[in-house]
Amino acid sequence: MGAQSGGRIQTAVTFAALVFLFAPLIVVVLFSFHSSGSLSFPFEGFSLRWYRSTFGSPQFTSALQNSLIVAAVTAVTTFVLGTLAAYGVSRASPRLRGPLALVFFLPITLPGVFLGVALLIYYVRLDLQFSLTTIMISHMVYVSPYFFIVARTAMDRLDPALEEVALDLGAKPAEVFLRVTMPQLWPILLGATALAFMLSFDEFVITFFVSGGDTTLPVFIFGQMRRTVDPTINVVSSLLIGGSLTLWITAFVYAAVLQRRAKTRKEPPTATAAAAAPAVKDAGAPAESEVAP
Amino acid sequence: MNTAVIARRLRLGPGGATVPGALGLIVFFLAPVITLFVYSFLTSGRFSVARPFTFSNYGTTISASGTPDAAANSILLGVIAAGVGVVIGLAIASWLRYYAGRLQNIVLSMIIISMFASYLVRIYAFRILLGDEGAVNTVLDLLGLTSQPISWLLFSRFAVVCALTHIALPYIVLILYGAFRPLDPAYLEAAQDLGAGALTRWFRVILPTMAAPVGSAFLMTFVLTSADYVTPQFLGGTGQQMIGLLIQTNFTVAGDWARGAALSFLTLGAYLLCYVIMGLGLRIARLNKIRWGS
Repeated sequence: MGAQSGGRIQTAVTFAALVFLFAPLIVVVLFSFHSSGSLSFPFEGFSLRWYRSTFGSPQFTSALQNSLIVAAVTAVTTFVLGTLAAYGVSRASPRLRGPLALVFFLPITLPGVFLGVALLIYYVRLDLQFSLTTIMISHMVYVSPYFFIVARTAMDRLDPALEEVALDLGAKPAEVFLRVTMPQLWPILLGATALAFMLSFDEFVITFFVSGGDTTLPVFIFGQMRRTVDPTINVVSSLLIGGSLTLWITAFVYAAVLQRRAKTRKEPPTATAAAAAPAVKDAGAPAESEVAP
Repeated sequence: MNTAVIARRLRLGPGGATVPGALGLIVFFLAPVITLFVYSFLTSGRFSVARPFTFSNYGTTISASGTPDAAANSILLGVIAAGVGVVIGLAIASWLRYYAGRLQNIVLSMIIISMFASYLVRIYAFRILLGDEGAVNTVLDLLGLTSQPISWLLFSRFAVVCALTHIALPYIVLILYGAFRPLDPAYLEAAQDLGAGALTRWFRVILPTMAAPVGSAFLMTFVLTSADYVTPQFLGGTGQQMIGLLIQTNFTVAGDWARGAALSFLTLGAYLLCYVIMGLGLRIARLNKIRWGS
């Protein structure tokens, strides 16, 4: 379409932008394998020595462990509270829906620094010791709107008739939620939980204010960056890039598999109907009836 | 009395499922923000606040020697990063919508993947990329374009803008790509048939229809950039003060919580004002709600 010259400019900008987006990350990963301690060209050869020294460092392993614990607890709690919240909002009376949705959306509107300093003074005010617990609570506040937005969009798309039918057939509301609503939502809620995990695992801006003596991986990197610049940071960075890439691809493939399974289940409806009720068997095979007279 | 009973008493119906999460946010989001607001009217000790109540924090913060410079620098860097990001984002989004063809899904996935690269990693990457012996200077030297390293690449506004644009760009592209979707190529072909050149099509067809998303992408990047406190620390030179950094130092280094709180709410107020102005502007220009023909 359109004038070719315009298209050419956009193509050039897009590919330049891809280089801009990926070149820095590629350089970081490349130098994590450097055989010398230098972070500048010429590249002197490959070695795993920085990986070995990183994994040998107790500060790194404890930071990694802390990050995994924090991200896992944050993701699971966010999944439970966020799913309930999204369900409640999308099924609430229209009068309540707007204000309730606003409450759950609000934390995303504040830049991280504000949330960080507000939580910092609040924890001090409450005499809460800075620890992994304060980090987890802060992360839950920070990731909840992301989870909520994804979950609520999915809930709003569900067909309410299915739930009404289940209620009419005598199921209790809790049963309807667990056995009718949830099974339709698993793939997207798992995706949103993975997103919550990643956001928490990578969070630095807020964590910096509420972490006290406990370091998470980003806090560890920050400390390293302040002191020196050596390939250890490249190693940790490469691991972070690799980790989130793996998680993202896994979630993507898993969602694709679920989708395909759902499709194959839906495609031959006549077959399932036929299996369920032998009485409809003859009427349920249009291909056959077309061939026969 | 548990939450289920409370929910029933309030006649929330299925809305009762929101109660645990809402309570959590009241206790750990609204209450902290309100506490911060109250602190902005108290008197600072070191890493503490006490009565008497006062309005002076706001005045002293505004007139403090560092504040105007930090504000000016934040606005400058924010506008540059947001402007550059939005222009590049528009080019990428329109390419994805009209020219990408088979490459569309691949490039879109690559942009989403780049979103997941850690925030600190990006900042670190630019630090080793832009140094005197970094990759950029090495390449320039090998190509014979420069005889000695360009020293203003690192520890400069340039470096800060690079990193912040890098962080914001994927989000900008996603917002704008969504905005291009209803804009059928037929509209642009019609404009072209009627004699509109490329620039005319951009300024009279594309941009007016997506004024709202362009505005929100711009403001989002502006807020992200001007409130950042990590990037200027690592990539900005000495004396590169920014509002986010100033807030952070007030809380963790100077321990002047009342003034830090006042500065936080002044900044939030400024952001809010930006959003209100944008909303009003779009409404006056009647660009806030576009009705598509079909």
